[in-house]
Parts: sequence; C-alpha cells; structure tokens
Amino acid sequence: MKDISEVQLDEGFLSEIINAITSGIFVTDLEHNILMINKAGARMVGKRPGDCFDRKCYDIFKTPMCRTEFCTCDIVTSKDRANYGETTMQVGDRQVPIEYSSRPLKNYEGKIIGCVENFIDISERLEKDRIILEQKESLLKKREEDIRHLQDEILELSTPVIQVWDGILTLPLIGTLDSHRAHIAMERVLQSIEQTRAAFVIVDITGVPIVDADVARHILQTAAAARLMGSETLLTGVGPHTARVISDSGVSLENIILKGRMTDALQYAIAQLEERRLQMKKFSHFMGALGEEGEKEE
Amino acid sequence: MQPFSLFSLGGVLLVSVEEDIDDAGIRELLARVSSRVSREAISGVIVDLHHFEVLDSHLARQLQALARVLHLLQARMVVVGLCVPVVMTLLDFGITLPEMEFALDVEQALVRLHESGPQASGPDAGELS
Repeated sequence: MKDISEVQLDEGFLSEIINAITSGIFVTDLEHNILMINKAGARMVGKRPGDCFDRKCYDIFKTPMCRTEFCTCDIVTSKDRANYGETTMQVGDRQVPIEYSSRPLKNYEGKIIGCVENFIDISERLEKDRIILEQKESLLKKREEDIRHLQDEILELSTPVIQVWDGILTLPLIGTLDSHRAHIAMERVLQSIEQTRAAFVIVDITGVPIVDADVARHILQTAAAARLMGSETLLTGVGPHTARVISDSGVSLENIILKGRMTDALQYAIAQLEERRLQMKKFSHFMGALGEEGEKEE
Repeated sequence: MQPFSLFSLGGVLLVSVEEDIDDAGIRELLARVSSRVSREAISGVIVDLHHFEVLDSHLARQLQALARVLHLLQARMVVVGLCVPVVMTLLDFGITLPEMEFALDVEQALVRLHESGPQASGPDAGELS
C-alpha cells in the first residue's frame, strides 16, 4: 500500500481531489463560460461535468441573480474581492436553496482572469431551521394561551360576588385591585344586583394588601354604581393602616356605610331588611294595589 | 300618546317615563308632576326609568332639576329601574346624580318613602361624587 506522501501532486491528482470534495466548485472566465466544474457541483444541478463545460454559468445555474447587477462573478471580478451569499438555483422545475462564496481567479501576473465559486445545497438546513422555528412558535403560542387562560381564571376567581342572604351580596376582594379588576368587579356587582335585587352589597377588603387612593376611588365608584341601581354599599375589613392611608388621601367615603367586621355588616344589613319587611307588611294593602298596577304596566 | 304616565298611590305619585320622551315631554312632565305634588299634598314621587336603555346627560340634568323642584315642594323623589348599561354609562361620564335617591324597584321605593317618613329628609344635599 502506497503512502499518501508518495503520490505525486500532479494535475490529475489535484482534479481527483477537487472531484472528491462534496461541495460544488466551478471556475468561469470573464465571459461567464464555465472552464471547470467538479462532480459534486454538476450533480447538484442534475448534470455531468462534461455537460457543463464551455456553457454559460447562467444557463446552468439559473439563479435570480444571474445576468443582473448582483451577479457574483461580475462583482468579484470587477471589485477584486470575495463575495458570499445565499440564493436559489433552478434544477429542472425545482428551486434549490444554496449558499455560495466566490473569489476572483488571477493568473501568475496577478491579472484577474475569472472567478472561482463554490456552493452547497442548504435545503436540509433550511428545512431544519424552519421546523425548529415552527416548534418554537407553537410552543410560544401555547404558552401565551396558557397565560391568557390563567389570567382569565384569576380574574374570574378574584371577583366573586356571593349572595349570602336574601337581598345581601358580598364581594370579598383579595389581592391587588387595579382599575381593570375594579371595573370587572363593578360590572359583576351591578349584574348581580340586577339579578338578585339585593338591597345591600358588602365589600370586604381584608384581603387587599395595598389600599391606596386609587383603590379607595375604585371602591367609591362601585358604591356609586350600586347606589344608582338602588342598593346600599357597606365596606368592611378596613385595618388601621388602610384607615390612615384613606384618611391621608383625602378620599371621602360618604356614600358607603363602614362596618368593622363582616359580621357587623351582615347584622346591620339583616336588621335593615327585617325592618323593611315589617314596613312592607304595614303597607300590604298598598302593595296589593301596586301589584295590580304593575301588571297593567307590563 | 304621552311619553309618560302618572299613577297615584295614595300620597305617592308613580311616574313611568318612556324612552322616547323629548324636551317638550320633559317640560310637560315637570309641570304636571309639580302641580300635582303641590295640589294633592304628595309626599313622595317614584320615577320609573326601566324603559330606558340609554340615559343621556341632558336627561340626567332634567331629572336633577325635577328632584330640586320636588325638594322645594317638600316631596322626596326616588328613581327606580336603572339598568346596568345605563349605570355604567352614567359613571363613565362622571354623572352620579347626588341629589337623588335610588331604589331597586317600585316596591322598595315605596318602603323607603314610608320608612323614614315623608318629612324626615329631603335629598341629601351634602353628598358628593
């Protein structure tokens, strides 16, 4: 067996080496005639090297850049520098994405006589990139969906309106109260008032860690809304810290009945309801007349 | 047809207002209600707005005017039947109707008018938004 150092580096052996390279290599002159192309390059365009010699490179490769100002051969030969890029070449009726690099070819005098170009098929790489990108996107989309779902869930959980008694609704607020949440809570309260015809709404802020002027305003707004519907609002769970903050902020809570604990608020509301029920009994004859009147109205 | 109707409930006047009431209608309503309140010694007026899906600021001002007139005539005014969209719009425009009282329905309004007595308190003038 011969050692490789014993092989003579003649022209034939050099062309063997060039033909053994897996990326495409070809050489053109200044008129775009292909002077040489290796086997891999010819195979990539679906031809044999013999079919490509002395033909114009733009007839063989048919890239979108061919015969335009972006022709890489023209660029490297006119500017005497290397040029790299990606493009597609047409093989049959198929577009093959390639990555190319070109350099000017000089003779022993240093005069530019042509262009050497090598190129590789990157369709597999692009396909892989595309798949990775797709996976990333779908993952991102899924995560976004999850987050949105969770947010909705939290919003749903965080503004429960509970009917604890006939005519009494409670809104136990937990967590930070921003304007978005406050708006949702208000809408919920109004809808619940409309459905249940509750005369009292107890807003409990024991679970709201930070109560500032904005939060106080939101609660006031809810109370104003409930008032327009015809319900009264009670506020419970005001701690010493919250009391100081509200007092400092200058927001007056005059539309709201303040009670220390939920128990007190409930007792107050139930007592009020009881009183009203008694009143209603007193005027029962009245109500009868009203009922008839109401039916006529409908 | 009149854009509003009046029902007397013994000492209380029930005013049901239609949504298509115009300026002339409102003037007519103001005149009729105030004259009846002073003539028949009515202590409470219930204004039913459940026909309204939209309540503009102009009408809100007219209602305030009515409330003030009734206050001067020593009658209380309770508004009933505001629906959720109406309330949301009013608040969005910053209208809180501080001089008026509200009740869930006519029944509750009647109870309210009777519980604190006709002369006990007029509109809470001190209330701010």
